Amino acid sequence: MIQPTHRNLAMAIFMLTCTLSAPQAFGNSVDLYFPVQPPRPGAAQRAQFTAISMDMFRERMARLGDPQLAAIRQLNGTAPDSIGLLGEIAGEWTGVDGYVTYTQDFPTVGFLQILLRGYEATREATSNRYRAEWDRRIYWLNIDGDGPGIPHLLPALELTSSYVPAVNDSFPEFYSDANVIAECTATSPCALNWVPFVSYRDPVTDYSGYPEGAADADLYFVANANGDAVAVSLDLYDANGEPDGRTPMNAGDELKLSTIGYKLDEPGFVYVLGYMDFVTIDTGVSIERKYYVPGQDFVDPNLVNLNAGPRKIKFLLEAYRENGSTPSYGFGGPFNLGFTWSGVPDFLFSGNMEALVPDGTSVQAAPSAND
Amino acid sequence: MLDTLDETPERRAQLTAGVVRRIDVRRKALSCLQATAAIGVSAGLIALAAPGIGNYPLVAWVAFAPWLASLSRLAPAAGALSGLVMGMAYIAPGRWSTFNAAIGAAGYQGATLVGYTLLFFLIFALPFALFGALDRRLHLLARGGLQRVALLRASVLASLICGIWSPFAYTPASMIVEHAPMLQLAAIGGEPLVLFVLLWPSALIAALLQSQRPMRQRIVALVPMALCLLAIAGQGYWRINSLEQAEASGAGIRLSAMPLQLDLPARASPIMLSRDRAHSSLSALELSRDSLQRAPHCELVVWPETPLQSVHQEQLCAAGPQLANKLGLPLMMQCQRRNGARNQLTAEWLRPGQTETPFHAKSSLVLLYEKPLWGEGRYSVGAPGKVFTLDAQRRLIPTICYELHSRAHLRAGVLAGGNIVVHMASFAAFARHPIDIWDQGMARLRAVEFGVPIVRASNRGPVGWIDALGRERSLSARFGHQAHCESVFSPAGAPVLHARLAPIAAWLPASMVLLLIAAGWLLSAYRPHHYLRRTHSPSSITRHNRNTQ
Repeated sequence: MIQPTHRNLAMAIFMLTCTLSAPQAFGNSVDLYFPVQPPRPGAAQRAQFTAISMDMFRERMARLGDPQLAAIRQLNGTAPDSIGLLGEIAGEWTGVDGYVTYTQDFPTVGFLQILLRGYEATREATSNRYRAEWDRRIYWLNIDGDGPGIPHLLPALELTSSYVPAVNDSFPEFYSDANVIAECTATSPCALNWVPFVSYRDPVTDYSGYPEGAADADLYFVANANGDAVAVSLDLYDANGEPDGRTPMNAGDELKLSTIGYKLDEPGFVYVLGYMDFVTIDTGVSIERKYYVPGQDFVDPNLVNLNAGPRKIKFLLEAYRENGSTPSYGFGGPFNLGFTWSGVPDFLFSGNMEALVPDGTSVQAAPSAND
Repeated sequence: MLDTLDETPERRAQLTAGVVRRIDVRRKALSCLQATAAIGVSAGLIALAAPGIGNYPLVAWVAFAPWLASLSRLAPAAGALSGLVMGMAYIAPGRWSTFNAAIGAAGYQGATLVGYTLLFFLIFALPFALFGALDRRLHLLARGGLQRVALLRASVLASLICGIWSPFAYTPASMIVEHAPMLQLAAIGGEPLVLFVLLWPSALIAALLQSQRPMRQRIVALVPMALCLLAIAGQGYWRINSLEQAEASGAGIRLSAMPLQLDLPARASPIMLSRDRAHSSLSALELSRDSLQRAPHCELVVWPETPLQSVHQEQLCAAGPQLANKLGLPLMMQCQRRNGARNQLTAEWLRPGQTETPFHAKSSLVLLYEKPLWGEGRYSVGAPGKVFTLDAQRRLIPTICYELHSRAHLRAGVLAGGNIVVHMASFAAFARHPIDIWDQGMARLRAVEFGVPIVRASNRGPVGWIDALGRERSLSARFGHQAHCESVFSPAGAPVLHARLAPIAAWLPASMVLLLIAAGWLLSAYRPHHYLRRTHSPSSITRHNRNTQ
């Protein structure tokens, strides 16, 4: 039983404690001594993120889209061994792209859909369904430099699957490449792929004036009808972000790749994830179209504890609408494809392909459903 | 046989005690139910009045009455519990997800995230709990007089809410920022005085609901309060009229400022700010330049707080002088500077062609977000009150995001001669929850409290300016990517009374009322014969008894 005197004493102590200081009322310092430490950064937290508006992203993509290329982009072909991916998004859109992704949770950022491959999606008549064909493979960059034997994911967005070099197109370097001329013909066209946000340093240029201490660059490569890369080029930007010409990759150059992520509650933005250090090109570069399982086939020290095998593979639609000077963006899905990364080669068909099973990562869904 | 047993005195006593216990339990249950229902009604009325939720500010004037009426019957412990529940019911609905998102953005997850969010709201409930515990004593202190009880309860609750530290400076006074004449009271006694006046009708109605007086007398008891509110409104109208006349006559000062609105998520790329491509308006620099071409008379560009990582902010800041040179105008930009092993969040005053860059380091850091609960965080605090001088008349008080609600900073800035607040905000951490709406209401209170206009540049919030009377003179949509040149007026007179009283303003309402009551006691004590004469008269005894019921 608390006596009134004790109660008064307790009340007085309580009041004194509460009224010691109030920074928003007056004064600045208040220290509440709870034995709590801020969370320690994990591997996922150490990743470097930057968000870039989709407007800037598409402006960058459109820079190389000459009218001929834009026309070609509507004629997507089908690589061997491909499977059809189906997604759904309501509304009328200027364009819809389809991305093969998996979901990863990054503390302080949230769930991101990590891009593996990207295509322009084709609408099924006037329905809300859009389709893309995927050859079940991912592109990897293998550099015989400081990181021998470690392939790095190339999040490749396909600009066209019907590329035939022409004298007046945007890629004179490919027109002058004997491999490209031989492989990419009207009867057997190639695919042209874009990998944005590559950091590049050559051994002779002073990059001290560049924001990141390196030139921002986009990597392009041509893949033949079988999907194998036959030519590669880098599109460079200067310190102010202005286009600064193209270059082939040479021994001694340094590269740092990024991956691309999409956050479902930020449809107007693309997230660029830096996860690796610069790697020096030694004797050459190879772009591999392989079915690697990171964590099993190789271990990347920058991706500790990543076992990609059990990751569910999903299909995400990203749509844009041009409204004069203010375009709008939206996501459809992501849709579970019914298999994990380790199940990709053996996958034949699943009811999920037609039933369209959202993975629960839509903005309204509970985060626990992100797997 | 049983009937016979019931006839024994012991049995009768047992039965009577049992009935009394049952009645007592039922009475307590009923009382608990009534108290809970009253809290529910009050919480509903508060939600109806709150900005960004119901938006009916008139309801705010009576919203606390049901709870206060239910509180007066409770014992201190039950009162404290009632207060705790009321405090949570007042603040948490409609706001939980907002602050949960912000604490989550600071890196906390799972049970820790829920725990911190709960703690965050419990701190808001603390003044209510304390008030609930004290309430019965307040009644004793006021000796039962209706008007005294109402004044004492309203003033003590207002002082506790404003005086006890909370992690976000929101109080119920923000509900009535649309009532501009009443808001002018803040120039005298700040938000605590406004809150006191706001709670007064609720407290008086609560007392009247408990009173046994005839209805006519209860209505008459409202008259003094109504007259006071009318007088306050009259003073407010007079103040508004005076400043409008000053503005129309060309007194005071004017500033053409361009606050920028951006729509960037957390961890935006620095190129979203610094990219410099011709004929484009996608970056902050490109947008500013594009807008300045349409408004060549503009004198100053203000960028909002930028949601960049530290390393990127440092890079951007290194390019700051170049950015000002490219714009050809003074640019106020948020940066980070190294301060020993830690960083400071700064507002940089970049002027074209000037090598020296004055800066203000943020003087009030946000708990859990910019400073941890325990130990030293990444950032160190700066000194409050820095003023940037545009010319002899125009002196700007730079304010970074939540620092707008640091009265220490605004007070020091105003007393140092600052006459326009330039606010750089970013609400990116709140994931488009309506925090900017609540912040806007609080900003309007700050403008009146210190008698200065506020120019607001914002990321993921509205931009524009608030005049010194707390009125929104120009306000954009909540989200967008735009810049307009605003012609801002400041009375630029002597600091208002609250600017001087700010350090003690929170405790003024309770202190004033307690002093008045003490003065009443003293007067009574020095007039014993008069009192005796009155109390000896049978009619005065009846009157006295009626008054105390």
